[in-house]
Amino acid sequence: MTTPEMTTPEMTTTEAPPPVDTAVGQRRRWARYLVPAGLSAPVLVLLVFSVLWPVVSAAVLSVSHSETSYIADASRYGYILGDSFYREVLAQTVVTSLMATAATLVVGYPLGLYMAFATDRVKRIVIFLILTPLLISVVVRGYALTLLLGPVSPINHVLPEKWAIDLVFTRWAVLIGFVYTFLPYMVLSVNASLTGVDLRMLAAARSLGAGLWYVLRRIVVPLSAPGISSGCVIVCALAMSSVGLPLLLGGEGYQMWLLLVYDQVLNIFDWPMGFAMAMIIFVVIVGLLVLGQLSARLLRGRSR
Amino acid sequence: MTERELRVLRWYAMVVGVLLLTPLVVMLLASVNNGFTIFLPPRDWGFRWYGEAIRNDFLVEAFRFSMMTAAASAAFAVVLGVAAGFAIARYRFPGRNLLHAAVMTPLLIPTVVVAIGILQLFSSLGIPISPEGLVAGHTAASLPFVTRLTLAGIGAIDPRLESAALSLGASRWLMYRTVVYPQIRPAVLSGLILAFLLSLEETTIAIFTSTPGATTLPVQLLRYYANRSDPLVAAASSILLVLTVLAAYLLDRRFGLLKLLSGNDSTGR
Amino acid sequence: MTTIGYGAPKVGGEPASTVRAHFRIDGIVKSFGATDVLHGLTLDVARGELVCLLGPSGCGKSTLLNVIAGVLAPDRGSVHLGERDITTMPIQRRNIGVVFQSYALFPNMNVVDNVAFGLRARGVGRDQARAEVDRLLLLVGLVGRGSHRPSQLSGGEQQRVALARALATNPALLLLDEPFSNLDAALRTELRAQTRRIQRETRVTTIMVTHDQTEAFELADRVALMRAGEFVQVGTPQELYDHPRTEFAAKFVGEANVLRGPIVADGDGRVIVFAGNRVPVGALTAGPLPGEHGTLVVRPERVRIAASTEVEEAAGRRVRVAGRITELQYRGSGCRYVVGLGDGSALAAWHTGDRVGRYLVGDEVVASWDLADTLVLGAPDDHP
Repeated sequence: MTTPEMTTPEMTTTEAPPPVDTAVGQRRRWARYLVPAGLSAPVLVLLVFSVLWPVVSAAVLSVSHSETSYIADASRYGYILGDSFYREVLAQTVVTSLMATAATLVVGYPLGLYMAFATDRVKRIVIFLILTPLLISVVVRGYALTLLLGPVSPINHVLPEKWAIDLVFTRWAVLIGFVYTFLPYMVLSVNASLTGVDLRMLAAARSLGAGLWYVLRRIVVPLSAPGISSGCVIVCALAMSSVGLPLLLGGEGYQMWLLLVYDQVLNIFDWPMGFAMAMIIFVVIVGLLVLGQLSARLLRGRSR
Repeated sequence: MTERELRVLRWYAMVVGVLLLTPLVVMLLASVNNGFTIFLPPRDWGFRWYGEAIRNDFLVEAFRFSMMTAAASAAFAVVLGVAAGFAIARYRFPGRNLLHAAVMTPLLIPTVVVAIGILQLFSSLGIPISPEGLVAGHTAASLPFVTRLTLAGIGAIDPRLESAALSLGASRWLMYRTVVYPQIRPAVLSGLILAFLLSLEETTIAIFTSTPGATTLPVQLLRYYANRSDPLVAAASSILLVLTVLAAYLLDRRFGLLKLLSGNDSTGR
Repeated sequence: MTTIGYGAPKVGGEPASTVRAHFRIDGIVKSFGATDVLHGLTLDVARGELVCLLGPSGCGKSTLLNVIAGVLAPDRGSVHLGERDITTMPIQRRNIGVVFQSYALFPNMNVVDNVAFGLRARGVGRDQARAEVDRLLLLVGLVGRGSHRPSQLSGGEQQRVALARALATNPALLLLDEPFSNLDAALRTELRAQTRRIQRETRVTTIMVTHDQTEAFELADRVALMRAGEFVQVGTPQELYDHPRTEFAAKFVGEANVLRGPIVADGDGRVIVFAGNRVPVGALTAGPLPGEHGTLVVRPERVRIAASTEVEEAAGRRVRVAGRITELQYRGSGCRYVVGLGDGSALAAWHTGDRVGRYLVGDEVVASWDLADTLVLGAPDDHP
């Protein structure tokens, strides 16, 4: 799971210098590294065992001939990418994720503005409503959506018979599910990027005669560009690597890439195949991250 | 923003807020159907399925298992994350920035890849996937949040307080206990609770690392959803929903949700 | 000053360039929830005048400025600029230039774009705007800094960009909200002078908020002294200094000796009694009647110290008070003496040019001042 702050282009390192000089009182040079080493060792061990090594070993298996042999064999990548069905599902996954990202941006950007600029009491409630779902399981949220979008939905009581909706297991359900689930991330990201803008600045712009759209165009959007791009990257990445939602809302009717991975690994037990497919989407996501960084830099440079 | 424009934004935000609520409300309504089919609005009201959910062995076991893995992974995440946070914030050593970046990597790698990786590694090493792999995965996933909260908490401590304590003759240990610890306690506590909640709701890693008898609640709900069409899932999900919302509310009151999840304050900058 | 015939702001009426308005607020009332911040303020400002809103923090001066700017709407009262009632007009149509305390420069634009913002927002072409920007940068002394971003500028430079930006659209009114408070002392002095020069050159009607009395006196044509949401006194710096209307006003604009005592009839006049002295209360001040309490105010620089044994000859009628020096502060440019009057009260006297040793702590002296420099006010204000 990612949060907006983490992939904002600027920050990756801390600036705070150690306030108490830990070298004072230390007799030997290397002794001063004992404590930080001791503090960081457990974390590093965990990270190696839960992240680094697992990913590597999964990658290794995906290019092995089979589960039992260690002969290098990347042929299954060729097989996957050569198969038109797989290519179609991959394209579908990417397209749906992009569509979901665009929709989330449109819905979420004004919310980000609200959170950044509003000072009223309702804001507290709205923040709670938007952020709490992050702590609610994707399964619960997705299931609730299937009720709303399925045949038993109360919406169908209102709509005439022939317009009755049964969106579950369609691409629309997945799309709505993505927007519904990932909206908070976009909102958080946009909000975070607007911390440098205060109402005084906007008042100054207005006093100079600028209308609302001009202010948005020349000041707010350029300044929130990093937030927009990192929000988009996060939502797209989450959508492309999402399992629970496609399972609930897409299921048989709409194939998403990660459902295929799920199938391969847990139903068919062809792990190398499943891992290879996972690696493919991993590469796509990393490519997306890089694109995001580049576009953020471009946007910032172009702001006139 | 003029007042009028802010008002428009506020209306928009309220509308979206209500829309976000709607599916959950629908689910709550679905859960109070007494019959075997879900009707909305319910034709026959009752809390029967809540009773069924509480008595359901699989669900209870899954709930228990979820709680335990959440507790374990939260505990680990806090111990490891706070230690790492301390190392990053208070010490200078080669590789400090690298450590910081490393702790944040779980956010960058798609959860699915981590999940299958753990599956592969643990099974090839002969370590049981569940609960060990599950806890490992959840701990790693919570690490970035805990560490970030710790860093924020430590960053808020005025270093001169520490110097003052030391100059008055306090031992380093006493100084940590009386000056540092009280000030970072809220950050650590909120990290603990956050990690717990995140583990509870986590789905992707859980799907791949669950085994019969050792399944987390979300995964069990998924299974039931696939096989049943009665309100049981709705009732069980509603229980989980209410518990989570309550926890979120208490967290918000005590620490401020916005600050927890994004690092910013809702009162401004 | 050249004016550009660019499109007028989207409001009915005259093009911005010819509006050098007479400005007026009338009965402005503003509350935030249960707290009343502004209690019915009325003020006129003449064309081209610089008026300072002066007062301690919390007196409401910034709130009033925000009401004028259009950031806040008043609960009651009206705001007029020139012929137009702008009380309910949205910010962007008021044609008012604002310089905020924090400058509020746009971080994503360089200096030229910041200054040109108002012009471009009104549809002025890029080249035309650029010419105007260059003129303004010359005016504020920032030629050559055009391509820099705000973050690359010093505090003083940022302040000047903010000023240039506000002036670019030829506003009818210029508002300055504590524009120098973020600068260090040396810079402050320099920029104050520069701002005054620019204001005189452009002849734009200006209202400035400050809590610094020296600043107000240096820049303002008139000062509006505020306290707790009300105007205590409005007048030229000289009027405020020499004829303050309340004790608060007397103390806020400079150091003041304040002595309290009862008013007593004396022949056909009145005197104020303190520390065994009787000082006539001039017929000029309508002030307190016999039987009431009064406050005597005299500026330390008007008080002269002389040794008891000296015979002091001076023109005019003088007030003479005996006492003993209790404190001596040497300030390089002179000495400040504090004379205890025996009943616990004290008088401060400022002698420019005195060296240490002329009078010493413990000396019995006579403090005297010209009757014309005396001010007698009513009983102390009841304001918090």
